[in-house]
Amino acid sequence: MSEDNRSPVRRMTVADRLFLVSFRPAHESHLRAKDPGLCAECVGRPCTTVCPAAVYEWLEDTDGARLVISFENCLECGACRLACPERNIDWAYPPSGHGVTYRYG
Amino acid sequence: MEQDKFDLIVVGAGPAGAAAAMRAARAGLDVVLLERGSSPGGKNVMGGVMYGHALRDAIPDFDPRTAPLERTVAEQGYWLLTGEDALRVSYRSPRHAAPPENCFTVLRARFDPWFAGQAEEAGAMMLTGTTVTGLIRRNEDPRGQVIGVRTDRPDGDLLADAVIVASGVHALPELLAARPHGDLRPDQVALAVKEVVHLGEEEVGRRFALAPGQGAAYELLGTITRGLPGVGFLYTNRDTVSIGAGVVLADLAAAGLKPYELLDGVKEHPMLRPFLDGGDVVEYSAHLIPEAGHAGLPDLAGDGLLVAGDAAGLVNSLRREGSNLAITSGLLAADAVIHARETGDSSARGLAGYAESLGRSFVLQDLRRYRQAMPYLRAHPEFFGLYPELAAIAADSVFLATGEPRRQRARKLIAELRRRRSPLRALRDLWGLWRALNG
Repeated sequence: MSEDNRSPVRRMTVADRLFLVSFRPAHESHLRAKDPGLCAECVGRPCTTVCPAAVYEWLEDTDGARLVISFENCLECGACRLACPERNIDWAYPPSGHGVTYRYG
Repeated sequence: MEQDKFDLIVVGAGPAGAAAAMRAARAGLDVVLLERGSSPGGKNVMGGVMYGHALRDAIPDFDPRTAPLERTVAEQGYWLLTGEDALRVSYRSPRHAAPPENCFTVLRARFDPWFAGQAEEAGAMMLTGTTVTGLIRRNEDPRGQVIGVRTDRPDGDLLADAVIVASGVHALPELLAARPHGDLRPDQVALAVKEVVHLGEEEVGRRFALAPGQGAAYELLGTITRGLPGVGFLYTNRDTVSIGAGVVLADLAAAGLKPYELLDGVKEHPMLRPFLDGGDVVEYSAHLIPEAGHAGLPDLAGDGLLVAGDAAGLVNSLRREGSNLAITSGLLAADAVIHARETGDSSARGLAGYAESLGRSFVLQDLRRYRQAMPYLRAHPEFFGLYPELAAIAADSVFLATGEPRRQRARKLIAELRRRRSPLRALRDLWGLWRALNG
Protein backbone atom coordinates (compact mmCIF):
# COMPACT_ATOMS: atom_id res chain seq x y z
CA MET A 1 0.00 0.00 0.00
CA SER A 2 1.27 3.46 -0.81
CA GLU A 3 1.54 6.16 1.81
CA ASP A 4 -0.44 8.59 -0.33
CA ASN A 5 -2.55 10.57 2.12
CA ARG A 6 -4.65 12.17 -0.59
CA SER A 7 -6.13 8.84 -1.61
CA PRO A 8 -9.58 7.83 -0.32
CA VAL A 9 -8.19 4.33 -0.32
CA ARG A 10 -6.35 5.11 2.90
CA ARG A 11 -7.94 3.09 5.65
CA MET A 12 -11.01 4.66 7.18
CA THR A 13 -12.11 3.67 10.65
CA VAL A 14 -15.70 2.77 11.47
CA ALA A 15 -15.99 6.12 13.22
CA ASP A 16 -14.78 7.91 10.06
CA ARG A 17 -17.43 6.08 8.10
CA LEU A 18 -20.28 6.66 10.54
CA PHE A 19 -19.39 10.35 10.60
CA LEU A 20 -20.63 10.45 6.99
CA VAL A 21 -24.10 9.20 7.91
CA SER A 22 -26.80 11.25 9.61
CA PHE A 23 -28.48 9.85 12.68
CA ARG A 24 -31.27 11.05 14.90
CA PRO A 25 -30.95 8.84 17.99
CA ALA A 26 -33.99 7.98 20.07
CA HIS A 27 -33.84 8.34 23.86
CA GLU A 28 -33.96 4.62 24.41
CA SER A 29 -32.21 1.78 22.64
CA HIS A 30 -34.17 -0.22 20.08
CA LEU A 31 -31.63 -3.04 20.60
CA ARG A 32 -31.29 -5.08 23.77
CA ALA A 33 -29.72 -8.33 24.89
CA LYS A 34 -32.67 -10.35 26.19
CA ASP A 35 -30.56 -12.39 28.60
CA PRO A 36 -27.15 -10.80 29.35
CA GLY A 37 -26.06 -14.11 30.88
CA LEU A 38 -26.13 -15.74 27.45
CA CYS A 39 -23.77 -13.05 26.10
CA ALA A 40 -21.28 -13.82 28.88
CA GLU A 41 -21.18 -17.47 27.79
CA CYS A 42 -21.29 -16.78 24.06
CA VAL A 43 -18.40 -18.14 22.01
CA GLY A 44 -17.12 -15.71 19.41
CA ARG A 45 -19.84 -13.11 20.00
CA PRO A 46 -20.60 -12.65 16.28
CA CYS A 47 -22.56 -9.46 17.02
CA THR A 48 -19.23 -7.79 17.82
CA THR A 49 -17.78 -8.67 14.40
CA VAL A 50 -20.64 -8.74 11.86
CA CYS A 51 -22.19 -5.38 12.77
CA PRO A 52 -21.22 -2.91 10.00
CA ALA A 53 -21.42 -0.05 12.50
CA ALA A 54 -19.56 -1.77 15.37
CA VAL A 55 -22.59 -1.19 17.59
CA TYR A 56 -21.75 -4.14 19.84
CA GLU A 57 -18.68 -4.20 22.05
CA TRP A 58 -17.77 -6.67 24.78
CA LEU A 59 -16.22 -4.75 27.67
CA GLU A 60 -14.46 -6.18 30.65
CA ASP A 61 -13.36 -3.59 33.22
CA THR A 62 -13.81 -2.70 36.88
CA ASP A 63 -17.59 -2.45 36.32
CA GLY A 64 -17.57 -6.07 35.24
CA ALA A 65 -18.00 -7.82 31.89
CA ARG A 66 -20.86 -6.69 29.69
CA LEU A 67 -22.13 -6.09 26.19
CA VAL A 68 -22.16 -2.38 25.38
CA ILE A 69 -24.68 -1.50 22.67
CA SER A 70 -24.09 1.83 20.91
CA PHE A 71 -27.56 1.82 19.37
CA GLU A 72 -27.22 5.43 18.23
CA ASN A 73 -24.83 4.26 15.47
CA CYS A 74 -27.16 1.55 14.18
CA LEU A 75 -27.55 1.38 10.38
CA GLU A 76 -30.73 -0.72 10.85
CA CYS A 77 -29.55 -3.61 8.66
CA GLY A 78 -30.56 -6.27 11.19
CA ALA A 79 -27.48 -8.47 10.74
CA CYS A 80 -27.14 -8.80 14.53
CA ARG A 81 -30.67 -10.16 14.85
CA LEU A 82 -29.87 -13.11 12.60
CA ALA A 83 -26.18 -13.59 13.45
CA CYS A 84 -26.77 -14.01 17.19
CA PRO A 85 -26.48 -17.79 17.73
CA GLU A 86 -28.90 -17.61 20.67
CA ARG A 87 -31.36 -15.21 19.00
CA ASN A 88 -30.74 -13.19 22.13
CA ILE A 89 -31.08 -9.75 20.59
CA ASP A 90 -34.40 -8.05 21.10
CA TRP A 91 -34.43 -6.23 17.76
CA ALA A 92 -36.77 -3.61 16.41
CA TYR A 93 -36.53 -0.62 14.14
CA PRO A 94 -36.04 2.64 16.05
CA PRO A 95 -39.26 4.55 16.79
CA SER A 96 -40.70 6.65 13.97
CA GLY A 97 -38.68 9.77 13.25
CA HIS A 98 -35.44 8.33 14.64
CA GLY A 99 -32.43 6.39 13.50
CA VAL A 100 -30.41 6.57 10.30
CA THR A 101 -31.20 8.73 7.28
CA TYR A 102 -29.20 8.15 4.12
CA ARG A 103 -28.53 11.03 1.73
CA TYR A 104 -27.47 8.74 -1.12
CA GLY A 105 -28.64 5.26 -0.16
CA MET B 1 -57.43 8.14 12.20
CA GLU B 2 -59.00 4.91 13.47
CA GLN B 3 -62.30 5.79 11.84
CA ASP B 4 -60.84 5.84 8.33
CA LYS B 5 -60.92 2.64 6.41
CA PHE B 6 -58.91 2.29 3.25
CA ASP B 7 -59.26 -0.11 0.37
CA LEU B 8 -55.57 -0.89 0.66
CA ILE B 9 -52.70 -0.26 3.07
CA VAL B 10 -49.20 -0.67 1.64
CA VAL B 11 -46.39 -1.05 4.18
CA GLY B 12 -43.12 0.36 2.86
CA ALA B 13 -42.54 2.96 0.13
CA GLY B 14 -39.65 1.18 -1.61
CA PRO B 15 -39.91 -0.12 -5.18
CA ALA B 16 -42.38 -2.92 -4.34
CA GLY B 17 -44.65 -0.82 -2.13
CA ALA B 18 -44.66 2.28 -4.31
CA ALA B 19 -45.38 0.16 -7.41
CA ALA B 20 -48.30 -1.52 -5.63
CA ALA B 21 -49.66 1.81 -4.41
CA MET B 22 -49.46 3.51 -7.80
CA ARG B 23 -51.21 0.70 -9.64
CA ALA B 24 -53.97 0.36 -7.05
CA ALA B 25 -54.50 4.13 -6.85
CA ARG B 26 -54.72 4.36 -10.65
CA ALA B 27 -57.48 1.75 -10.54
CA GLY B 28 -59.39 4.07 -8.24
CA LEU B 29 -58.67 2.39 -4.92
CA ASP B 30 -58.34 4.41 -1.76
CA VAL B 31 -54.70 3.66 -0.88
CA VAL B 32 -52.43 4.67 1.98
CA LEU B 33 -48.68 4.12 1.59
CA LEU B 34 -46.73 3.93 4.87
CA GLU B 35 -43.02 4.67 5.13
CA ARG B 36 -40.94 4.58 8.31
CA GLY B 37 -38.26 6.93 6.95
CA SER B 38 -38.80 10.67 7.03
CA SER B 39 -38.95 10.38 3.26
CA PRO B 40 -38.97 7.34 0.96
CA GLY B 41 -35.48 5.98 0.39
CA GLY B 42 -34.09 7.60 3.52
CA LYS B 43 -33.51 4.21 5.09
CA ASN B 44 -32.98 2.22 1.92
CA VAL B 45 -29.82 0.94 0.32
CA MET B 46 -29.03 -1.03 -2.75
CA GLY B 47 -26.05 -1.33 -5.14
CA GLY B 48 -27.96 -0.31 -7.15
CA VAL B 49 -29.29 -1.24 -10.53
CA MET B 50 -32.88 -0.44 -11.50
CA TYR B 51 -34.40 -2.14 -14.51
CA GLY B 52 -36.17 -0.45 -17.42
CA HIS B 53 -38.73 -3.17 -18.04
CA ALA B 54 -40.06 -2.87 -14.50
CA LEU B 55 -40.20 0.94 -14.61
CA ARG B 56 -42.08 0.85 -17.92
CA ASP B 57 -44.56 -1.63 -16.43
CA ALA B 58 -45.11 0.56 -13.38
CA ILE B 59 -45.32 3.89 -15.21
CA PRO B 60 -47.05 3.60 -18.60
CA ASP B 61 -45.57 6.84 -20.00
CA PHE B 62 -42.20 6.39 -18.29
CA ASP B 63 -39.60 8.86 -19.55
CA PRO B 64 -36.10 8.32 -18.09
CA ARG B 65 -35.30 12.01 -18.58
CA THR B 66 -37.88 12.96 -15.98
CA ALA B 67 -36.61 10.50 -13.35
CA PRO B 68 -33.73 10.94 -10.89
CA LEU B 69 -31.68 8.15 -12.42
CA GLU B 70 -27.90 8.27 -12.16
CA ARG B 71 -26.73 6.78 -15.45
CA THR B 72 -28.10 4.53 -18.18
CA VAL B 73 -26.06 1.35 -18.06
CA ALA B 74 -24.20 0.73 -21.33
CA GLU B 75 -21.67 -1.77 -20.00
CA GLN B 76 -21.95 -4.67 -17.59
CA GLY B 77 -19.32 -7.16 -16.67
CA TYR B 78 -17.67 -9.58 -14.32
CA TRP B 79 -14.23 -8.87 -12.96
CA LEU B 80 -12.44 -11.89 -11.61
CA LEU B 81 -10.03 -10.46 -9.05
CA THR B 82 -7.22 -12.48 -7.50
CA GLY B 83 -4.25 -11.18 -5.52
CA GLU B 84 -3.14 -8.23 -7.63
CA ASP B 85 -4.62 -9.52 -10.87
CA ALA B 86 -7.85 -9.00 -12.75
CA LEU B 87 -9.46 -11.03 -15.50
CA ARG B 88 -12.24 -8.88 -16.89
CA VAL B 89 -15.17 -9.95 -19.02
CA SER B 90 -17.53 -7.18 -19.93
CA TYR B 91 -20.03 -6.29 -22.55
CA ARG B 92 -20.75 -2.78 -23.74
CA SER B 93 -23.62 -2.13 -26.05
CA PRO B 94 -25.02 1.25 -27.09
CA ARG B 95 -28.32 -0.60 -27.65
CA HIS B 96 -28.60 -1.23 -23.91
CA ALA B 97 -28.43 2.49 -23.28
CA ALA B 98 -30.84 3.41 -26.09
CA PRO B 99 -34.62 3.26 -25.64
CA PRO B 100 -36.03 0.98 -24.41
CA GLU B 101 -33.25 1.22 -21.85
CA ASN B 102 -32.14 -2.01 -20.20
CA CYS B 103 -31.17 -0.68 -16.80
CA PHE B 104 -30.02 2.32 -14.83
CA THR B 105 -27.91 3.00 -11.78
CA VAL B 106 -29.80 4.73 -8.97
CA LEU B 107 -29.21 6.07 -5.50
CA ARG B 108 -32.20 5.20 -3.40
CA ALA B 109 -32.45 8.38 -1.36
CA ARG B 110 -32.97 10.21 -4.69
CA PHE B 111 -34.88 7.60 -6.64
CA ASP B 112 -37.42 6.43 -4.06
CA PRO B 113 -39.02 9.84 -3.32
CA TRP B 114 -39.65 10.27 -7.04
CA PHE B 115 -40.97 6.73 -7.51
CA ALA B 116 -43.24 6.94 -4.46
CA GLY B 117 -44.25 10.37 -5.75
CA GLN B 118 -45.75 8.60 -8.77
CA ALA B 119 -48.06 6.77 -6.36
CA GLU B 120 -49.06 10.05 -4.73
CA GLU B 121 -49.73 11.60 -8.13
CA ALA B 122 -51.98 8.65 -8.89
CA GLY B 123 -53.96 9.50 -5.76
CA ALA B 124 -52.38 7.37 -3.01
CA MET B 125 -51.91 9.02 0.36
CA MET B 126 -48.39 8.73 1.73
CA LEU B 127 -47.59 8.82 5.43
CA THR B 128 -43.87 9.08 6.12
CA GLY B 129 -42.21 8.73 9.53
CA THR B 130 -44.66 5.93 10.27
CA THR B 131 -43.34 2.59 11.48
CA VAL B 132 -45.71 -0.36 11.29
CA THR B 133 -45.37 -2.53 14.39
CA GLY B 134 -47.87 -5.27 13.54
CA LEU B 135 -50.97 -6.42 11.74
CA ILE B 136 -54.50 -6.03 13.03
CA ARG B 137 -56.60 -9.16 12.58
CA ARG B 138 -60.36 -9.66 12.78
CA ASN B 139 -61.53 -10.33 16.34
CA GLU B 140 -57.86 -10.19 17.40
CA ASP B 141 -57.67 -13.82 16.33
CA PRO B 142 -54.00 -14.51 15.44
CA ARG B 143 -55.17 -16.51 12.43
CA GLY B 144 -57.96 -14.13 11.51
CA GLN B 145 -58.27 -12.00 8.40
CA VAL B 146 -55.90 -9.03 8.29
CA ILE B 147 -57.99 -5.88 8.55
CA GLY B 148 -55.33 -3.26 9.16
CA VAL B 149 -51.98 -2.35 10.67
CA ARG B 150 -50.74 -1.00 13.97
CA THR B 151 -48.22 1.85 13.82
CA ASP B 152 -46.17 3.50 16.56
CA ARG B 153 -47.82 6.86 15.99
CA PRO B 154 -50.42 8.15 18.47
CA ASP B 155 -53.81 6.68 17.52
CA GLY B 156 -51.83 4.86 14.91
CA ASP B 157 -54.18 2.03 13.96
CA LEU B 158 -55.20 2.01 10.30
CA LEU B 159 -57.87 -0.24 8.80
CA ALA B 160 -58.28 -1.55 5.27
CA ASP B 161 -59.80 -4.35 3.21
CA ALA B 162 -56.31 -5.53 2.26
CA VAL B 163 -52.70 -5.02 3.35
CA ILE B 164 -49.64 -5.40 1.13
CA VAL B 165 -46.47 -5.84 3.20
CA ALA B 166 -43.47 -4.51 1.25
CA SER B 167 -41.39 -3.50 4.23
CA GLY B 168 -38.10 -5.09 3.22
CA VAL B 169 -36.02 -8.05 4.30
CA HIS B 170 -37.24 -8.10 7.93
CA ALA B 171 -40.89 -7.98 6.79
CA LEU B 172 -42.86 -7.83 10.07
CA PRO B 173 -42.02 -9.90 13.19
CA GLU B 174 -45.22 -11.94 13.06
CA LEU B 175 -44.70 -12.73 9.38
CA LEU B 176 -41.13 -13.88 10.03
CA ALA B 177 -42.39 -16.17 12.77
CA ALA B 178 -45.04 -17.58 10.44
CA ARG B 179 -42.62 -18.50 7.63
CA PRO B 180 -42.95 -22.17 6.66
CA HIS B 181 -39.45 -22.97 7.96
CA GLY B 182 -39.35 -20.29 10.63
CA ASP B 183 -37.52 -16.98 10.78
CA LEU B 184 -34.72 -16.15 8.34
CA ARG B 185 -31.42 -17.87 9.06
CA PRO B 186 -27.97 -16.26 8.76
CA ASP B 187 -27.18 -18.55 5.83
CA GLN B 188 -30.21 -17.19 3.96
CA VAL B 189 -29.10 -13.56 3.87
CA ALA B 190 -26.08 -11.65 2.65
CA LEU B 191 -24.73 -8.60 4.45
CA ALA B 192 -23.60 -5.94 2.00
CA VAL B 193 -21.66 -2.78 2.80
CA LYS B 194 -21.12 0.05 0.37
CA GLU B 195 -19.44 3.39 -0.03
CA VAL B 196 -20.40 6.19 -2.35
CA VAL B 197 -17.26 7.93 -3.59
CA HIS B 198 -17.52 11.38 -5.18
CA LEU B 199 -15.37 12.00 -8.26
CA GLY B 200 -17.33 14.55 -10.30
CA GLU B 201 -19.43 13.86 -13.38
CA GLU B 202 -16.68 14.37 -15.97
CA GLU B 203 -14.18 12.36 -13.97
CA VAL B 204 -16.54 9.38 -13.73
CA GLY B 205 -16.98 9.50 -17.50
CA ARG B 206 -13.23 9.79 -18.04
CA ARG B 207 -12.16 6.99 -15.68
CA PHE B 208 -14.68 4.52 -17.05
CA ALA B 209 -14.48 5.79 -20.65
CA LEU B 210 -18.20 6.50 -20.75
CA ALA B 211 -20.27 8.75 -22.98
CA PRO B 212 -22.24 11.44 -21.10
CA GLY B 213 -25.17 9.94 -19.23
CA GLN B 214 -24.00 6.38 -19.82
CA GLY B 215 -22.84 4.11 -17.03
CA ALA B 216 -21.20 0.84 -16.14
CA ALA B 217 -22.00 -1.89 -13.63
CA TYR B 218 -19.37 -4.47 -12.73
CA GLU B 219 -19.68 -7.45 -10.39
CA LEU B 220 -16.43 -8.30 -8.64
CA LEU B 221 -15.77 -12.01 -8.25
CA GLY B 222 -12.81 -14.06 -7.14
CA THR B 223 -10.74 -13.95 -3.99
CA ILE B 224 -11.89 -10.37 -3.37
CA THR B 225 -14.38 -11.76 -0.81
CA ARG B 226 -11.51 -13.57 0.91
CA GLY B 227 -12.77 -16.99 0.01
CA LEU B 228 -16.24 -16.30 1.42
CA PRO B 229 -19.26 -16.85 -0.83
CA GLY B 230 -20.14 -13.40 -2.04
CA VAL B 231 -19.54 -10.70 -4.57
CA GLY B 232 -18.26 -7.16 -4.80
CA PHE B 233 -19.63 -4.46 -7.06
CA LEU B 234 -18.55 -1.25 -8.73
CA TYR B 235 -21.27 0.91 -10.28
CA THR B 236 -21.06 4.38 -11.78
CA ASN B 237 -23.49 7.04 -10.65
CA ARG B 238 -23.76 10.52 -12.18
CA ASP B 239 -20.90 12.13 -10.24
CA THR B 240 -20.05 9.31 -7.81
CA VAL B 241 -19.28 5.62 -7.90
CA SER B 242 -20.74 2.95 -5.62
CA ILE B 243 -18.28 0.35 -4.39
CA GLY B 244 -19.20 -2.46 -2.07
CA ALA B 245 -19.25 -6.11 -1.23
CA GLY B 246 -21.70 -8.60 0.20
CA VAL B 247 -21.15 -12.04 1.65
CA VAL B 248 -23.40 -14.64 3.26
CA LEU B 249 -23.94 -13.52 6.85
CA ALA B 250 -23.36 -16.97 8.36
CA ASP B 251 -19.99 -17.25 6.61
CA LEU B 252 -18.98 -13.70 7.55
CA ALA B 253 -19.79 -14.48 11.17
CA ALA B 254 -17.92 -17.80 11.10
CA ALA B 255 -14.85 -16.10 9.62
CA GLY B 256 -14.94 -13.41 12.33
CA LEU B 257 -14.35 -10.89 9.57
CA LYS B 258 -15.71 -7.37 9.94
CA PRO B 259 -17.71 -6.17 6.95
CA TYR B 260 -15.81 -2.87 6.68
CA GLU B 261 -12.52 -4.81 6.64
CA LEU B 262 -13.88 -6.76 3.70
CA LEU B 263 -14.70 -3.43 2.03
CA ASP B 264 -11.17 -2.13 2.77
CA GLY B 265 -9.76 -5.15 0.94
CA VAL B 266 -11.96 -4.51 -2.09
CA LYS B 267 -11.02 -0.82 -2.27
CA GLU B 268 -7.32 -1.60 -2.00
CA HIS B 269 -7.21 -4.05 -4.91
CA PRO B 270 -4.83 -2.64 -7.56
CA MET B 271 -7.51 -3.01 -10.24
CA LEU B 272 -9.95 -0.87 -8.29
CA ARG B 273 -7.72 1.80 -6.77
CA PRO B 274 -7.31 3.82 -9.97
CA PHE B 275 -11.08 4.19 -10.18
CA LEU B 276 -11.31 5.54 -6.63
CA ASP B 277 -8.07 7.44 -6.05
CA GLY B 278 -8.50 11.07 -5.10
CA GLY B 279 -12.26 10.73 -4.65
CA ASP B 280 -14.11 11.65 -1.47
CA VAL B 281 -16.09 9.00 0.34
CA VAL B 282 -19.42 10.75 0.93
CA GLU B 283 -21.46 7.93 2.45
CA TYR B 284 -21.14 4.51 4.02
CA SER B 285 -24.12 2.18 4.22
CA ALA B 286 -25.11 -1.39 5.00
CA HIS B 287 -27.99 -3.61 4.05
CA LEU B 288 -29.16 -7.19 4.40
CA ILE B 289 -30.19 -9.02 1.21
CA PRO B 290 -32.55 -12.01 1.33
CA GLU B 291 -30.87 -14.76 -0.68
CA ALA B 292 -32.82 -17.89 0.18
CA GLY B 293 -34.54 -17.68 -3.19
CA HIS B 294 -37.14 -20.26 -4.06
CA ALA B 295 -36.47 -22.45 -1.02
CA GLY B 296 -37.11 -19.54 1.34
CA LEU B 297 -40.39 -18.25 -0.06
CA PRO B 298 -42.91 -17.36 2.65
CA ASP B 299 -46.66 -17.61 2.20
CA LEU B 300 -47.26 -14.93 -0.41
CA ALA B 301 -50.89 -14.44 0.56
CA GLY B 302 -53.12 -14.75 3.59
CA ASP B 303 -56.62 -13.52 4.33
CA GLY B 304 -56.48 -9.81 3.57
CA LEU B 305 -52.69 -9.98 3.24
CA LEU B 306 -50.10 -10.03 0.45
CA VAL B 307 -46.31 -9.94 0.71
CA ALA B 308 -44.09 -8.40 -2.00
CA GLY B 309 -40.47 -7.51 -2.74
CA ASP B 310 -37.68 -8.26 -0.26
CA ALA B 311 -40.29 -8.98 2.43
CA ALA B 312 -41.14 -12.08 0.37
CA GLY B 313 -37.46 -12.79 -0.35
CA LEU B 314 -37.87 -12.02 -4.06
CA VAL B 315 -34.22 -11.54 -4.98
CA ASN B 316 -32.33 -13.31 -7.74
CA SER B 317 -28.92 -12.90 -6.18
CA LEU B 318 -27.10 -14.82 -8.89
CA ARG B 319 -28.20 -12.22 -11.45
CA ARG B 320 -28.15 -9.39 -8.88
CA GLU B 321 -31.76 -8.67 -9.77
CA GLY B 322 -34.04 -7.50 -6.98
CA SER B 323 -35.44 -4.06 -7.74
CA ASN B 324 -37.27 -5.43 -10.79
CA LEU B 325 -38.62 -8.43 -8.89
CA ALA B 326 -39.81 -5.97 -6.24
CA ILE B 327 -41.64 -3.72 -8.71
CA THR B 328 -43.20 -6.59 -10.64
CA SER B 329 -44.38 -8.31 -7.44
CA GLY B 330 -45.81 -5.02 -6.16
CA LEU B 331 -47.75 -4.50 -9.38
CA LEU B 332 -49.09 -8.08 -9.38
CA ALA B 333 -50.06 -7.79 -5.70
CA ALA B 334 -52.00 -4.62 -6.52
CA ASP B 335 -53.73 -6.41 -9.40
CA ALA B 336 -54.89 -9.11 -7.00
CA VAL B 337 -56.26 -6.50 -4.58
CA ILE B 338 -58.04 -4.69 -7.43
CA HIS B 339 -59.59 -8.01 -8.46
CA ALA B 340 -60.59 -8.83 -4.87
CA ARG B 341 -62.35 -5.51 -4.60
CA GLU B 342 -64.41 -6.32 -7.68
CA THR B 343 -65.40 -9.74 -6.36
CA GLY B 344 -65.77 -8.57 -2.76
CA ASP B 345 -63.54 -11.42 -1.60
CA SER B 346 -60.24 -10.41 0.00
CA SER B 347 -59.67 -13.77 1.66
CA ALA B 348 -56.54 -15.75 0.76
CA ARG B 349 -58.64 -17.47 -1.87
CA GLY B 350 -59.83 -14.17 -3.31
CA LEU B 351 -56.22 -12.95 -3.47
CA ALA B 352 -54.81 -16.20 -4.90
CA GLY B 353 -54.35 -14.57 -8.29
CA TYR B 354 -51.19 -12.95 -6.91
CA ALA B 355 -49.27 -16.20 -6.38
CA GLU B 356 -50.56 -17.50 -9.70
CA SER B 357 -49.49 -14.49 -11.73
CA LEU B 358 -46.19 -14.26 -9.86
CA GLY B 359 -45.64 -17.94 -10.68
CA ARG B 360 -46.20 -17.27 -14.39
CA SER B 361 -43.92 -14.21 -14.34
CA PHE B 362 -40.12 -14.14 -14.53
CA VAL B 363 -40.06 -13.54 -10.77
CA LEU B 364 -40.83 -17.06 -9.59
CA GLN B 365 -39.77 -18.72 -12.85
CA ASP B 366 -36.25 -17.36 -12.41
CA LEU B 367 -36.10 -18.08 -8.67
CA ARG B 368 -37.14 -21.65 -9.45
CA ARG B 369 -34.57 -21.96 -12.21
CA TYR B 370 -31.72 -20.77 -9.99
CA ARG B 371 -32.91 -22.55 -6.83
CA GLN B 372 -29.80 -24.75 -6.71
CA ALA B 373 -27.28 -22.04 -7.51
CA MET B 374 -26.72 -20.42 -4.12
CA PRO B 375 -26.63 -23.67 -2.10
CA TYR B 376 -24.19 -25.08 -4.66
CA LEU B 377 -21.86 -22.10 -4.58
CA ARG B 378 -21.93 -21.95 -0.80
CA ALA B 379 -21.01 -25.62 -0.59
CA HIS B 380 -18.12 -25.08 -3.03
CA PRO B 381 -15.83 -22.37 -1.67
CA GLU B 382 -13.27 -23.30 -4.36
CA PHE B 383 -15.24 -21.03 -6.71
CA PHE B 384 -14.21 -18.13 -4.46
CA GLY B 385 -10.56 -19.20 -4.13
CA LEU B 386 -9.02 -22.04 -6.06
CA TYR B 387 -10.77 -21.61 -9.41
CA PRO B 388 -10.21 -17.84 -9.69
CA GLU B 389 -6.53 -18.52 -8.96
CA LEU B 390 -6.38 -21.22 -11.63
CA ALA B 391 -8.01 -18.82 -14.08
CA ALA B 392 -5.27 -16.28 -13.33
CA ILE B 393 -2.59 -18.94 -13.89
CA ALA B 394 -4.15 -19.80 -17.23
CA ALA B 395 -4.35 -16.14 -18.20
CA ASP B 396 -0.69 -15.74 -17.29
CA SER B 397 0.20 -18.53 -19.63
CA VAL B 398 -1.75 -16.91 -22.47
CA PHE B 399 -0.41 -13.39 -22.05
CA LEU B 400 3.15 -13.88 -20.78
CA ALA B 401 5.93 -14.27 -23.35
CA THR B 402 8.88 -15.99 -21.74
CA GLY B 403 11.09 -17.11 -24.61
CA GLU B 404 10.18 -20.69 -23.84
CA PRO B 405 8.41 -22.69 -26.58
CA ARG B 406 4.63 -22.44 -26.22
CA ARG B 407 4.15 -26.22 -26.41
CA GLN B 408 6.52 -26.77 -23.50
CA ARG B 409 4.77 -24.07 -21.45
CA ALA B 410 1.34 -25.52 -22.18
CA ARG B 411 2.54 -28.85 -20.75
CA LYS B 412 3.78 -27.10 -17.62
CA LEU B 413 0.49 -25.23 -17.28
CA ILE B 414 -1.53 -28.42 -17.55
CA ALA B 415 0.71 -30.12 -14.99
CA GLU B 416 0.27 -27.17 -12.63
CA LEU B 417 -3.51 -27.16 -13.05
CA ARG B 418 -3.64 -30.92 -12.49
CA ARG B 419 -1.56 -30.57 -9.37
CA ARG B 420 -3.97 -28.00 -7.96
CA ARG B 421 -7.13 -29.91 -8.92
CA SER B 422 -7.51 -33.32 -10.47
CA PRO B 423 -9.14 -33.12 -13.91
CA LEU B 424 -11.88 -35.46 -12.74
CA ARG B 425 -12.78 -33.27 -9.78
CA ALA B 426 -12.58 -30.12 -11.91
CA LEU B 427 -14.93 -31.68 -14.42
CA ARG B 428 -17.32 -32.69 -11.69
CA ASP B 429 -17.21 -29.17 -10.18
CA LEU B 430 -17.86 -27.49 -13.50
CA TRP B 431 -20.63 -29.93 -14.37
CA GLY B 432 -22.18 -29.28 -10.95
CA LEU B 433 -21.91 -25.54 -11.47
CA TRP B 434 -23.45 -25.76 -14.92
CA ARG B 435 -26.32 -27.82 -13.57
CA ALA B 436 -26.84 -25.49 -10.65
CA LEU B 437 -26.98 -22.52 -12.99
CA ASN B 438 -29.34 -24.18 -15.40
CA GLY B 439 -31.93 -25.62 -13.07
